[in-house]
Amino acid sequence: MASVSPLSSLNNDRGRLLGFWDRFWFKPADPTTLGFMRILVGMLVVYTHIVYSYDLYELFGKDGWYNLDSMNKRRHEQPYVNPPNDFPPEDQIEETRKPYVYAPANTYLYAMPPDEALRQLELVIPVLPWDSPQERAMVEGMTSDDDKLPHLSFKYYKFVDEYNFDPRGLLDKDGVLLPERERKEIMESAKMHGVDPRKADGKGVAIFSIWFHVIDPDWMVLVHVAIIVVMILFTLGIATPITGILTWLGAVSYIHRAPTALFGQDTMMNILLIYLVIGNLIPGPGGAALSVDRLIARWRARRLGQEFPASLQPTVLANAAYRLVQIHLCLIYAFAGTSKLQGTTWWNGTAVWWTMANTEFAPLNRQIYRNYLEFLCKHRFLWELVMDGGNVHTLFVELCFPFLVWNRRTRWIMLMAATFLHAGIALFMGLTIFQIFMLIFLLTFYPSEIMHKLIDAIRDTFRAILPARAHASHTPAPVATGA
Amino acid sequence: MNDLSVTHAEPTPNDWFAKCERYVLDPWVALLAGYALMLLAIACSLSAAPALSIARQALAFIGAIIGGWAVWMRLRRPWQGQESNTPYLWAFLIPLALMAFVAVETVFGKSYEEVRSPLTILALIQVSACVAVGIVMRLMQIGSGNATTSAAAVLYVAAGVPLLGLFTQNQEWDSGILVFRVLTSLCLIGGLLAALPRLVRRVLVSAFFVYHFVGISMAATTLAIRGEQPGWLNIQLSQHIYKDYLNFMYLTNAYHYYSPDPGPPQLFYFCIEYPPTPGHPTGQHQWVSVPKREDFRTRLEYQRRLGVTESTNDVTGITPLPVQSFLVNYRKNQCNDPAVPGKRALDVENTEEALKLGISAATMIRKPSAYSQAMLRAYARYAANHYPLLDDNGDPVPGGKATSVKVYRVTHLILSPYRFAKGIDPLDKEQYLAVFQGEYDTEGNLLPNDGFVYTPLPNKWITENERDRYGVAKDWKLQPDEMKDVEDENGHVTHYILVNRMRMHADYFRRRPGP
Repeated sequence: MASVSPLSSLNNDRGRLLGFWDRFWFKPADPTTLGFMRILVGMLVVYTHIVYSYDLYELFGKDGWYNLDSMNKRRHEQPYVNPPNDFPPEDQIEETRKPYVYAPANTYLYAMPPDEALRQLELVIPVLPWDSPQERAMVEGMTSDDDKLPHLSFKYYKFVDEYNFDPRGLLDKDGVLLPERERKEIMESAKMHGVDPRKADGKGVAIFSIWFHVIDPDWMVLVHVAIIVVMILFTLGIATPITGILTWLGAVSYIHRAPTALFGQDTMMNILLIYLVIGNLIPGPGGAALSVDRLIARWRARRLGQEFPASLQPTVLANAAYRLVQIHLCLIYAFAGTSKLQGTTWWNGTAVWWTMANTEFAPLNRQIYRNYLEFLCKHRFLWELVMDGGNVHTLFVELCFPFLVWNRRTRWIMLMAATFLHAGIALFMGLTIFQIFMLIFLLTFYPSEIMHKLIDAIRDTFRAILPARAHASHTPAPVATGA
Repeated sequence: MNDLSVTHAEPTPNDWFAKCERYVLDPWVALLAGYALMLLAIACSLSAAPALSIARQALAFIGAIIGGWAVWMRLRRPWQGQESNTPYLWAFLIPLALMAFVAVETVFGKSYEEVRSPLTILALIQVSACVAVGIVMRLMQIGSGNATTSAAAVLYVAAGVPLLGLFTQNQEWDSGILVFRVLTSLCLIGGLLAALPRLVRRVLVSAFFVYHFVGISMAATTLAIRGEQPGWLNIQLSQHIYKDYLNFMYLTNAYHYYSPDPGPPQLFYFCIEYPPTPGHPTGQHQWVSVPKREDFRTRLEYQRRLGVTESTNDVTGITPLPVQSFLVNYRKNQCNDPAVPGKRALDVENTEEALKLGISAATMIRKPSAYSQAMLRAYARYAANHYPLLDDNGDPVPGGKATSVKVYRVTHLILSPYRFAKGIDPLDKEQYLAVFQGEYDTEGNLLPNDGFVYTPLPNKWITENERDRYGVAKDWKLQPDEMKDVEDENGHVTHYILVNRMRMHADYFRRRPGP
């Protein structure tokens, strides 16, 4: 029975709009594509984490590139500052920027008479960055204000350079320096995070990772292997809802522990995992699509003498997952495309060159590729055609995809264009896994019939190789009720 | 129509498997097991013995898995029945009150620590109430007519499992605490959604979708653009509403790929200094470059190392002008050291070379942001502690622990089409623009500035005749790859030498130990 929107009976514009929304998000959809995505994403996730094995201690260990102490300081203490609730006066320089403003001629503090500046600087002498006790004693012993002020003023600016805040901030309301312990905490935090911690509205980052806590090398290997095993189980579709959540928790553990070793691939992997978890949270009767769960459910049903659905039941969560992936992809393209418009190279048509000739990414170690680029460079018109073409293609896909993909007439053009874009990036920039993830995003726009044909083709291939078994062909079932 | 529901078949007389299966697939049995394991884990947490500490974590983990299994076992059965308006719905309004409490506390700015205890107690009370309701329903064998309420009951009872899990974690395992809190909240919210009428449920889920995508948009629109602050509203939303959600889910990416313009990659060159040894009374040093493609088995590993180096490429730090002026003069004095004439080669200010590279007095000091500086300290510490001195056979030298490390962030410049057409090698050393990031001790502390910290040290091929012009000392020892012969169209060969300022700087400014 088709899912009937309770709003579709409303015969007005609002009713139609709400009915559209309801159908867009909650109409049950064939979960076959979801299953296919799960397998593809799962394989890439497993590969990504197997590769981590070579760098397990270097990236996630206690004394790795980003050592655990520094990471813990950042996640517990990183301050954040909210902007003021009112508009700041336009004729005043922001307090935090004042120390950086150059006071001409006499190197006084900003807009302050010399004697007042000297008085204030003398209060913070103990915290200024002296090269040696002798230097401090020498400056303190100066009797002439004209000699003393420039020295103190310079040290003031050196403090600002190192600690990113005005040292007078270490004075209490009576003009006395804070206790040393408190001063050290403030200075250390300001040096690390660039903000006086007392000006912060809060601190800390809500992230988690098993690698914040498991630091023994042997246990790290054990946990790492266990996570990979769980990811394999998810790929195969064993206890899919549970292994899905565990896979995501595991993948994000690596991400949160080594934020400096990440790039776009990890972002896309995380997004897809989130939506796959949502889509597989409540699989239909018989288990998730293309999963071992489904095989087990079929075996059980046979054993108990029960009927088992020959084909997958559409589910609401599968549709919701597809829509989430689609909308998110559109946002990614939109932000990527519009941010490029700020750059000059994307306007003058040279941006693609700076990616194709990037030595660390492009396959410039291959002579054939180098020869190709050299050939282009020796033929300017051809070079401009290729680079401008790549430029326009990139911007066309990123700026137009979010709008044109929803129209049936233009959908296939956009899908092909996006596929070419990602294939090109994979070929010329070496970001292969990243681009495969992007292509998996695009699968949600393909009709499920294509997935069925693909799976039938794979199945037929296996049937030709393996002993024949009686299987029904994989056709979509009538729409049924879902959650 | 086929009955698609999985029902409990009556076991055949000798079918022990079906009997076991009934219990395994029963969500209430699983919940009982989950609770039991969590209570056992809490018991283990009372002791500090290492073995019990490991057992505690293992039991908590397995308990949570079994709780999840219970939820799955219930939700995978058809759970949509007639819409429930039974009195049980009132019990499920309790979590609404709880969530409202949390929202009010958050809005009024209470710190998380202050609300933690009352929140936990409230959650405990609420879950206990729902557990009681759920158990009563189970005992009363609620039929399929109220299937949604039954599913909700399982979820509410399941919320107690991660809630108990909170008490198995000590303060150090804050990740476990965070995850258990989130799981508890998800179970409570899931239970509420399950109990509500479908229309209301869909409205709430739709609201979440909107919340989710607005949050993603906030992540993408709260970047500073060309030094200008992002929108006020965006920052307020990000800080007050989305910060924790986006950070927890790792949805903080702005998707600004290759924008505003594609840039060149960054590499690290570490010059690691070692103490004197009998054979080397003035100490030794070793150069390590990161990353090198040939060091990695897979491309992915190599790309991750490029991410590490890229994290120090945020040069938005500000140096106060008086300090800049001082450093300009200090650097000039350093370069005009009569005892070491070769230092003159390091002075690139106001030269044609600097002009071509876009180096001016204003851009001479490329100070990293506080974040990048913190990364540099961490990486310097790593380099100082992970690259022992090796002998010619590749074996570690005894006593070869580093004393300090100089860090150079090297931009691998991309060849212009003009230079590419001329056949210049993309790996040519002139394409490597080094910026000195400072010298650090083995704990990652920055040592005093020698005048060159955060300043560029470009390479340049020159002819022998130009040595004086570029200040290259006659006794400067060139390495084999710092010399080349170039034949022009007429067959005339010119000998070039490389002004490798990075290596010069490392050598001329070596902090040599005393005798």
